[in-house]
Amino acid sequence: MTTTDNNNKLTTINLNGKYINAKPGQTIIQAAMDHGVYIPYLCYHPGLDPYGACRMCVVETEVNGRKSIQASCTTPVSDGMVITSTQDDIKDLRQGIMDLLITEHPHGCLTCHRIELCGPQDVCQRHVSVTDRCTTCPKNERCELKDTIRSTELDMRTPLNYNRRDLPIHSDDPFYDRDYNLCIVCVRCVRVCDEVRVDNALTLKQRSGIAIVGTASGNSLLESGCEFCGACIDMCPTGALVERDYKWEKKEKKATTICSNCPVGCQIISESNKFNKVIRLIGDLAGEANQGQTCMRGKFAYDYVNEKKLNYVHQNNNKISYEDGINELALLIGKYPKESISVYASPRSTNEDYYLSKMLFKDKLGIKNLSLLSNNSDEIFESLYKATGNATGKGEFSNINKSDNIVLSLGNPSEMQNIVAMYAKQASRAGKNLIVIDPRETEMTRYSNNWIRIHPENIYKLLNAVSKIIVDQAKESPETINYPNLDLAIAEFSSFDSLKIAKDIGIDDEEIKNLASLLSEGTSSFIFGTDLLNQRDDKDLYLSSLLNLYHLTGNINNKESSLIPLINGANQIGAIHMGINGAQNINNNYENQNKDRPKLCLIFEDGAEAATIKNNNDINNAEVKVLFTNKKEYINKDYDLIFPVTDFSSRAGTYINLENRIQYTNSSVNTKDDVKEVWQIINDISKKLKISEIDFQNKNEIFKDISKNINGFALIDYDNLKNESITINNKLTPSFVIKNYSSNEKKEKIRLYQGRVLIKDSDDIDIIKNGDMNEVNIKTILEISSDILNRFEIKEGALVKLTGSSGYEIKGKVKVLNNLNNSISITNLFGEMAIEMQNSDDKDWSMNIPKLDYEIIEDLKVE
Amino acid sequence: MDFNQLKNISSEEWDNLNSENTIWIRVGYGASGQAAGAEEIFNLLKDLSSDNENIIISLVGSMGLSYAEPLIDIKSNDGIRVFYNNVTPDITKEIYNYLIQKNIPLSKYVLGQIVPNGRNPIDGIPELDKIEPLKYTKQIATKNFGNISPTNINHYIANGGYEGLNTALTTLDPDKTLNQVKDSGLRGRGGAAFSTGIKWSFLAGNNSNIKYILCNCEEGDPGAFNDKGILENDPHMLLEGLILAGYATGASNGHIFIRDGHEIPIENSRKAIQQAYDLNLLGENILGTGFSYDVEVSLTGDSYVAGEETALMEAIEGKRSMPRFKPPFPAAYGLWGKPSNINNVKTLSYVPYIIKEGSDKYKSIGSESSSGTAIVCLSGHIKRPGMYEIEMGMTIKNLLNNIGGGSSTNNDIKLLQTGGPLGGVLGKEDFDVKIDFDEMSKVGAILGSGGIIVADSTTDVVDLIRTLVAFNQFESCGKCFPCRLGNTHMLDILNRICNSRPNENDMDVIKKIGNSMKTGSLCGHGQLGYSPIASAIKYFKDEFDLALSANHPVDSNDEEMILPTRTRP
Repeated sequence: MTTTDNNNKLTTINLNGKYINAKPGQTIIQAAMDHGVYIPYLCYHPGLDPYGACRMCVVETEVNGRKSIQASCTTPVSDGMVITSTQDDIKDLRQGIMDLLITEHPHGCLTCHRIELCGPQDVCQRHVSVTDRCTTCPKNERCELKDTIRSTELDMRTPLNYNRRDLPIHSDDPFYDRDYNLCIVCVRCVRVCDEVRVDNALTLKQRSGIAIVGTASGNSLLESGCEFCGACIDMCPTGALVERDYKWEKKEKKATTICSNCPVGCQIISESNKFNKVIRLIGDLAGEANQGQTCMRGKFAYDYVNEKKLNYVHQNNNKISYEDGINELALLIGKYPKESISVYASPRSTNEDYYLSKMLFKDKLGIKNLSLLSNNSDEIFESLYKATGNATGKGEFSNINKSDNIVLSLGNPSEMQNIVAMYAKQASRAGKNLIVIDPRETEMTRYSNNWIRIHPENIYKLLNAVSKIIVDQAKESPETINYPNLDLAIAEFSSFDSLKIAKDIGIDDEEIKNLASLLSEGTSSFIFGTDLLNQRDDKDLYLSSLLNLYHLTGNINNKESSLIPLINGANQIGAIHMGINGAQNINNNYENQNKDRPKLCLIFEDGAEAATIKNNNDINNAEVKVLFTNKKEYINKDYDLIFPVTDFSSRAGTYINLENRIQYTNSSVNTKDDVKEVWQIINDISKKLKISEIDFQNKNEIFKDISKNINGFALIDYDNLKNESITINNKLTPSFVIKNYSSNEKKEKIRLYQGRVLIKDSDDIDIIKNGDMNEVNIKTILEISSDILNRFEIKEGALVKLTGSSGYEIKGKVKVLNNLNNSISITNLFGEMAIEMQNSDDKDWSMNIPKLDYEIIEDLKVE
Repeated sequence: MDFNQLKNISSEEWDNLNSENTIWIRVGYGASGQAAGAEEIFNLLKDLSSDNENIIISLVGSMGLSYAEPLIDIKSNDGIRVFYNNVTPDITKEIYNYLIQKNIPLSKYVLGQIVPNGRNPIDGIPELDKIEPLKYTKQIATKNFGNISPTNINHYIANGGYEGLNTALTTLDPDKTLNQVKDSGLRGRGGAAFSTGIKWSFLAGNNSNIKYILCNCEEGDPGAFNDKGILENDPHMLLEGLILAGYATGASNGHIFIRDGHEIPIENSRKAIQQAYDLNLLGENILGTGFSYDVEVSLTGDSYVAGEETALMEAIEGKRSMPRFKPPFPAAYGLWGKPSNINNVKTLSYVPYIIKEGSDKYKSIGSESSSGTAIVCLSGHIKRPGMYEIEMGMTIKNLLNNIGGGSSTNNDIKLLQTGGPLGGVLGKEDFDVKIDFDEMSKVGAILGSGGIIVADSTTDVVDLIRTLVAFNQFESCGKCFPCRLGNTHMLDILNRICNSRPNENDMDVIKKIGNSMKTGSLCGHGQLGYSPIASAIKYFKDEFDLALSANHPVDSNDEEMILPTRTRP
């Protein structure tokens, strides 16, 4: 009595007497879960490949009359399969295995009927030692092992001896506490670190009765290649791996939020306690952009929302009422001419906030100087717009590994847009070509099979040389190229000589040819930033060359090809869609046109890098500064008026990520006192200024307006967005951007390129203790190009001291640097930075991680 | 070069060694020969004969008669090979001088002689194939042992080697080759005894352009040394079988997977592979027939479980060798995700014979359901320890008495430990069982790898079982929970029993653990983990009862040796 639905190709199976439909190829446990049937499991996890170790999910299967006992996590369903998961012999088997398992996990409480009744201080009648009690376990409230044990109905007395491992607890690394006395060796942590993160920082050590999880290299996560993404913690079914902050806090409620630390748009479950503090962030498997993953910045840089919050409006550092604040602000806006006002929006604001900001400041008040408080180069958006008709790129992250090549240029996604790097690493693991163009050694260069080390100002030449080869090929046989405007390209590149360029930039001609053939033969995703480029001209040249190559390789209309700009600012893409520009542009305008500086500055501070505000001369020189913030620390810091606004924990609304995915973020804790959302304040000022068009009761009304007026938002239902994200389908039309490619040769000074990677040769690293915490001691290796070595007559192995133009000094041992001239390269360890961030006074440190830049070297001395 | 040319070159070299002008002295140099001091004998003979051009001293494989090592044989001008057993340097000198002076063998040290056709045997010396234990053996896969140098491909070719391959490549297509194997009734010698031909046909039916044949010489069972034996003594026999398997199944690559530490098999296999490449018996377009095939040696670390077929693939891929779950089965998803087929060394070593002589001839050997021979390794309390190839169907009793020569002590044989540490024990009651896959499984024993450890009546069964479980515990890979924890707890309980601290219900607890392991474990290591105990209880329940009565005298044994310390909490 089985049927197969040919349209959906479903498989019918009989599970515990009920016929259910399963997807072909699905495992039994997946089919059971889809239908709400619980089969106990420990090593299985929906976000991982099946493993089949814990054997807790055993079921009896019958296929063609043949019965057998199988692990349901590894056995695929087949049509007509009869599965039983609840009968006594299966239960006995599970009990038998669980009896064994709990001998290596404290279980006095787990098998006790009082488990939910006891408090931490109660006298235990079973003499369970305090350290072995569930009430003293940080995961007590969310322990998967506890649930599984309950489902197996274990007896209170178990026949086997409990062996406490008595291993030291590792609480000396940043962010994580690891207590392997609680580990059940399900190896989920090792598997997620391998399969999903492609880091392999964790491994299964030893074997048989003492098999245990540990670091793959050394004893500290700092030296084993850990990127502190927390994936292992999110996977751990016991208290073995936990976040150190708020370790013992009990979750009161949770909310689905979108991380506001970068534009990847990770969906994250935010847990909060009864004191309205956010205590934990956990990657949400349902999140389409991140598929359950987070990163160090996403998982651990949230504590700023918990402390020293600003709750009231302050004028000249004195508390005033909200209504008075609005009055004051309205007066100020009325007082200054619109040319003298500038407004800096927060990169973490929602689309609703941006929409209203733009409506009021730009459209109604005519303030031209409305921009985002971020250091994104507007050149990226401008170039994208010129080259594709759309400023925000295209493509979903999950498609990155569908293209044959991934070109990653001048970006450091593993630190700045971490999940993008994760997908690129997965692609590299799957055998795709990861082409990295960057002079710095980064985590991505370690995974790259084609790392082109080149000065940033020369990259456009390389790209053009590749384009030239592709165009030449297309001249011969036009079918090799999928580009409509070939004649223009041919004309544009007619004067180019790729051989000459190769020589000019010091790259092997063959390497360029190889790159051309890779890119012209396969599909490619382009992931690009503008790191290290400071001049607008350099950026323009580079970006237009890159996008021309993207067009010439026929990727623009290819579904498997993504075009992803590596920018910062959580909702930068949203701001573009809502019509707000970036900051630098405006700065440049003033610089160029010698206009008056603004006199009134409205600054929405949340999520801006500290340096962005510090270095902004408009803000520094303004007569009156109005700040919108969530942080108390800004009182007494030279702001005339300060409004308390919501932060990540209490903000709700929509964000748009790098994939152009619109996602709804919920507030996880309630706002207090006079804290308002940005749109509310704008709404209230508008009322005060008697601007009748801006009068919204709630965000839903704003979004309806957005739907009506903004391209790509039509017909999007706000309420549906709370359940699933919607991606705006950007249509791109290629156009060839022609630039003046003649560049002025600059006699450059020696550059020191700074890199950072997750793992280095263990000979170069010492883990030392600073108090209770680990620190890293790295032998400084200065890789110096041979032209410098010759010029200064330095031998490999010498000790050299460098002095940078900013007073920066460093000493290190010399190694030869190949592939770059007039350069020095130094590569630091991610772990060092992780320690620095953990110890940072700034709890909102995610925006302030030290960038990988270059230093101009003024002096070089052999010690 | 075609095969006939190869054969001519080889025969020439072989005939020179066997010519009337030459005295050819062969020193058995397998692992057992080396252990017994063959190297010293070899060097001594080299010194003694250094001024005599007509005397050639060679290292050859070991005949498997471990009890007779060091074993040398001297082919003198008359072509008769005379074998001397248990030689010492002094005896060797004596034999050598006697031979040089009188040109006749020194009969008091002689084991036997092999007489070429048309010659008369020397009086007073038994013919080698008439002596015990050799008169009860039947050599197919081991026929070259002690006869040829394992590191000389010409010796192998001169003795009929690679003829099977040549026959298959030139006269049979892959299907026919596979059918020969199928019809021969050859069954896997690794333990599961599955029909080799049918197993190959799974791989042959897969159209992938990369397919692997993996040959498993992990051979970690204590008491088993026949896989290593073949690679030590005649690696080309295996290599030819491996190439034939590749041809029959359309595979592209072969791997000989050897446990790191089996030094002689590793070295000899690598040499054999190189020689085969040099003669175009491997590589592109083998012997000009269009068939291409590559073989390499792959190693694992110190891991018994690496011999499990999927763990073996993990090891080759450079990962921690832990078993994968099945399905998918290796025939669909094996090494590097490609279709693969795993065969035991012995299984493949029969294939050249089957192809050369025909499936019928092979099928006529052995018993109805288990055709061919078994290569058994005898060790323990037995007079003639060694490696013997016998026809399937011989009873255990005959094996022990006729081949093994009975107990080596004054005590009766009490039990056998067969099939490796997971195989359990076989009590006296069942010594009438025939060596045959099906007959043995009827009494709950497995032939497995062919290792048979003999124990006399002084052996304490509980202690022996503790040793076996200790081995299994030490070798558990640590992946699946029942095996990792079950073995550990079973060992703890057995150890407690042996230390006269039993609990009343210990055997029930062990049984419950055993059942969880049997049905719950991921691979055979855990699934069979309880079988040593179950089989011991079957024959020797009274000894367990005595042990549980808490006054069990443990006459064992060095606990330090038995109880693993590195894998227990």
